[in-house]
Amino acid sequence: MSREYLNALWELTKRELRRKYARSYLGILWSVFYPLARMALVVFLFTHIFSKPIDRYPAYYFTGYLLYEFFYVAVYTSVTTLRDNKNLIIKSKLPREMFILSRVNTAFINFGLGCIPYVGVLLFYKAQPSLISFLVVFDVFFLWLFVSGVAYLVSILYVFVRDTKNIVQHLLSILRFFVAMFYAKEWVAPGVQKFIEYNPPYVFIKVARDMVIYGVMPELAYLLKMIIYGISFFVIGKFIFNKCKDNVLVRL
Amino acid sequence: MALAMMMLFWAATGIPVEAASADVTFGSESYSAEKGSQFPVGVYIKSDETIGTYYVKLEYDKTRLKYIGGAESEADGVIVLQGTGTEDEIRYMLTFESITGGEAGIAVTNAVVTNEDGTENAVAENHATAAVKISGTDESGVTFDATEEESAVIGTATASDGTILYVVDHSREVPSTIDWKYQAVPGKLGNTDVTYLQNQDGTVQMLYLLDGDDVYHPYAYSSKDGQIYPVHTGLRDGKKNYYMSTAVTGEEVKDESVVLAMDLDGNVSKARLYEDGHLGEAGLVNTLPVWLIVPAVAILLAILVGVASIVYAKNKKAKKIQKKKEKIETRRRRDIALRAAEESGDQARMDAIMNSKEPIISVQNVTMKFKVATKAVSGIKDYIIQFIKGEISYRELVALDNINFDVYKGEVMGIIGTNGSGKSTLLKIVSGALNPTEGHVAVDRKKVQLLTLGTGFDMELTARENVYLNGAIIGYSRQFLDEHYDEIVEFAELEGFMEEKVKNFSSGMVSRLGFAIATAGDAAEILILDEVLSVGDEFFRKKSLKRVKEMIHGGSTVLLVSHGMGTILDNCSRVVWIEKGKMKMIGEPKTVCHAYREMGAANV
Repeated sequence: MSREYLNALWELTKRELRRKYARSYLGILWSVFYPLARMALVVFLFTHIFSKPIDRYPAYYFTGYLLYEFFYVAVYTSVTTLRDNKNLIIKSKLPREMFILSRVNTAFINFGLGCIPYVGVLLFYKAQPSLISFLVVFDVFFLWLFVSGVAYLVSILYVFVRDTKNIVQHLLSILRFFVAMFYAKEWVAPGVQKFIEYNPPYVFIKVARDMVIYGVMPELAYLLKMIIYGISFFVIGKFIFNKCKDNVLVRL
Repeated sequence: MALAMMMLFWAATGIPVEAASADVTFGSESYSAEKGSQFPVGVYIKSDETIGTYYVKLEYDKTRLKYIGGAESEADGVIVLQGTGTEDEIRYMLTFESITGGEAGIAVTNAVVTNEDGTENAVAENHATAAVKISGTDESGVTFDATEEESAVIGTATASDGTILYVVDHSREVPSTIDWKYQAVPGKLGNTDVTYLQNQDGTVQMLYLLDGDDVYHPYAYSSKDGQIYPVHTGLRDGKKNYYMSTAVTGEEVKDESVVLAMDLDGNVSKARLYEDGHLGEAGLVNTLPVWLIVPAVAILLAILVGVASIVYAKNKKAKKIQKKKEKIETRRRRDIALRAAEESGDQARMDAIMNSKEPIISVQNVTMKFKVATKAVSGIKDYIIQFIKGEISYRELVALDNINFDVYKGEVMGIIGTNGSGKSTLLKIVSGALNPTEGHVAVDRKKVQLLTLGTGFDMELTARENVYLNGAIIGYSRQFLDEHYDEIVEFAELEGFMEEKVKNFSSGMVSRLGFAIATAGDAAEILILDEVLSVGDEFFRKKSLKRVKEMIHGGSTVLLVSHGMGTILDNCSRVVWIEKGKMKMIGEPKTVCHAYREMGAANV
């Protein structure tokens, strides 16, 4: 990727951020404040309901929330990207992936901001980071690959089927319940557990939790799934996107 | 035998001093009954203090008697009385039925009574017996003797979770289920002398405590806080391990998922307890998976690189063949352009064509068809309904039909035609925004710059932000934009408006800004202008025309779409006329414009 594309990607990302906070006073601080408030609410609501407590529940929930939210926002906002940027796409010779990636990266920056209070929560609840915790950058990297791949797919699909927007929105809200965000995987029925284990967002969340909160290496199966999901979704998404991108403009 | 061992043990550790004393007696020392009749037997548990918990085991001659009821539990001739009291005496009324005649008996085999606050264990030393004489013939033939099966319960204990359990003297009785290597070591649990089962290095001392159902539960004793902690089993690397809280070693528990694990050989180490009950490494750095990941990632990357290089090599080969074909075609087409130039007598252009190896833009047999649904379909639901009804039908709209022309370096090619004749579609195809249905456009897309009006601006952003956004999309670097920013503002005549949101601009202001950004750089080699020279007021139009002319002189090749015949005639070296998707004419501006006007006049 050449430098001019990177510059364009950065400008596009900045535009998305500016638009997102165009009319708010707190602006970008919302991205820092809201995840923390949400965590506080969930912890307040659920801590005393559970008979078997989860070790460092606030950090446990926060990890799941941040990673899933990145996935959710990136994919959901990517659906309509090609249409939203129709004019720019016609005008520029910028690779069309850039527009998708700008939305993914906007969500990623949002995620990065959410990590600021997250670090505080980790410290406050005495997480046990170790050298392994640094490996979480790989988890985030593969998550980014996975999210980008999915974003490519849904953005292309939307061009052909407009209902994609609704389908994706509902699927994402349903999927939210299957990533063991606010409960432990072991509490649900074995069949559901199996599903959760193979649910890609859960894999990334589980790996991050093990590495950052508990400072241990997750089971090998999860690491392999993390790598496979990341690379395969990205490659497939990009491949289909490239196959279809030329036919897209006619339909916009 | 059990008695002998007990004696030995007492002798070794000294006779315990019992502060409290307790006694269990029967209502009578002997009973008599008819064969086949039911009779009650009273049992009295007495203590000199208020009774807390108690555990009394009775044995009866099961060959001659049948237990009917009255106690907490009975199994195979052994009756257990247990519970919590509130007074210093507890009474039971047991009912038996005689089965056969003879000398039967009931005996207390063990009795442990704990005082109210659980601090003292009193073991009844005087084990009472009651004889039962049953009239009738003796069909049993067995002599009842309970003393040999004496229970080893010597006290009660309270686990950290509050359960009350019965302490067994392991010097007399050890559960048969123990499968790990241990040695019996005397010790104390509270005030009671007990025998601990200890591993080789003495880090773990366990007691197997009995619950009310006579089931053994292992507990680990912590000499640091005097508490006992439950011991569980779990698999570690597929092997059975016992695990317990790390509090056993007196350590402060920071992480409850880290436990003390002991294998069956008695080796103790820390382990992490996972939610599904299996044990794994507790250490911070677990090297094994890291070792596995690194090669796994490396192999994956290697495969990816391999595949990519194969694809790349294949593409390269295909491209080479393609290029050869194109060269031959190019030569043929250049001759056509040369002939046209010769006819018009333009020597300069002939030279230019002769000097350029190949055209800058080569539009070859381009056909563009759009599929237009004859009925609007607005989603899957609509689609399915209409599909079922058989109403899905498309009309083919041919926007461009077999367009062919080349543009050489330095040429200014005008494109004219009535509205909807396909000019903008052609520009989009040339700039690469659209792909033609058939045919091909040979052009270096990196050099192309498409300038259309009012597109690509984000109305929510300020003019300054739009300059950077648009500039970046066109392909300018950040540094370039910083350097040329003032120039752009000046050219667009928008000083003082740059911090305003673009949505507050007039359409003229937006167009001026767009033109200024697009032409800010060193002239793009190929400039495609879609109706931009009719922007703004007269003064700005002159200014922009001047800039476009500068660019042409600077060596840019220009494709120019305009409805202003003046602009076309003044600037173009050649003109293509496209009408309803078909190429009507190509050649001298004057000739083509004249023909175009005539057709227009004929239609009016």
